Amino acid sequence: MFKKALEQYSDEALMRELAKGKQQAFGVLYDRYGPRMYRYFYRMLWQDAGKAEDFTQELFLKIIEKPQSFDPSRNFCTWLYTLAANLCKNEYRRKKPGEFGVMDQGILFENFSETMDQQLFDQQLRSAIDRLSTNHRKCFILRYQEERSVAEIATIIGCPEGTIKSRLHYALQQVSQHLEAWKTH
Amino acid sequence: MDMKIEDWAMERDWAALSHLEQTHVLTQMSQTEYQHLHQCMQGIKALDAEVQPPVQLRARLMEQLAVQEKIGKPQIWWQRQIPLWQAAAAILLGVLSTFWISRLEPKVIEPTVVQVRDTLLQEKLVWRERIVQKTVVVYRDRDSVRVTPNNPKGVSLEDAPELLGLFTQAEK
Repeated sequence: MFKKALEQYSDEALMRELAKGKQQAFGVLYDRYGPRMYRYFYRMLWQDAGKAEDFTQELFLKIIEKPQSFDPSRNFCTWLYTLAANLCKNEYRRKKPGEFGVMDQGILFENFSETMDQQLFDQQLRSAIDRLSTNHRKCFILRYQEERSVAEIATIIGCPEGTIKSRLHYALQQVSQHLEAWKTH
Repeated sequence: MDMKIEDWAMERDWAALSHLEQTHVLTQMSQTEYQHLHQCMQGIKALDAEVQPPVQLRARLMEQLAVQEKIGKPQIWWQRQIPLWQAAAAILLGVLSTFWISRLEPKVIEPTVVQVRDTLLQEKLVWRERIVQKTVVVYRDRDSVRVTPNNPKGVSLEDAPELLGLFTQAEK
């Protein structure tokens, strides 16, 4: 009965409860954001499941260790994405440029004439996203995969909204051009 | 490209747009381009959507939370748990120290007489001085004393009425 009541709490209220020491509040927060954040890391860190798991764990450990570091006047979701984006930023810095998991377009186009199925489209799309620069990719994933608003992305990344819009426009153009072959006439 | 068009492309295909919306889109791109954009966006949204975190991740985090809770809470000293070897060592030390203390011989205290010489200082009055003051009165014959007036050539008050007036006025 108590758990059901907690599920109706807002994210910010749950964080307040967690800071007071209510463990169930964390469970509810994880159920709400765990899978979503895992997917975010998976997309941001070159579809590496191991890395996504580690980063999700690190992210939620930050919440466990210092729940009071969250300012309840802020939006929890935006705050969580900001933490996640910073973790990714550190990972990008750590990783050498050659290590980025960009897929080879040549291999993909080998089967292009044979099938145009969803799997191939997905592969091509993933490749297009991976080819974007780090800054464009961050904005692109947050906007079109995580469905965050431009204002939220600006807060998460710490850039003006105009910059975000221009990055999104460029990234979308790049991805669209990369998938030109799927254009139906 | 308009953000509005982008929002529409995320949700709806060309056929789902109203006539007004279609007209607006056509000012910036062709129908094919819009349809392609919509297809891309749908694909982007659906990409990796089925990816789920491992089940044990939640359990691991909950376990970590419980540990964190334990560390954070101040423990009462009698509830604190110590390793068995530490408890055994403490008991052994206690027994050994009792045994060692009991083996020590008690110290005998012998009385000793000590002589101490002291000096007492007493103040004593040796002599006293007495000062006496005397008044001596000398009597003489009146005739032998000659009184000399200070100003024998002075003016009598009777001769100076204005001066006399001054004295009488003061009395009044």
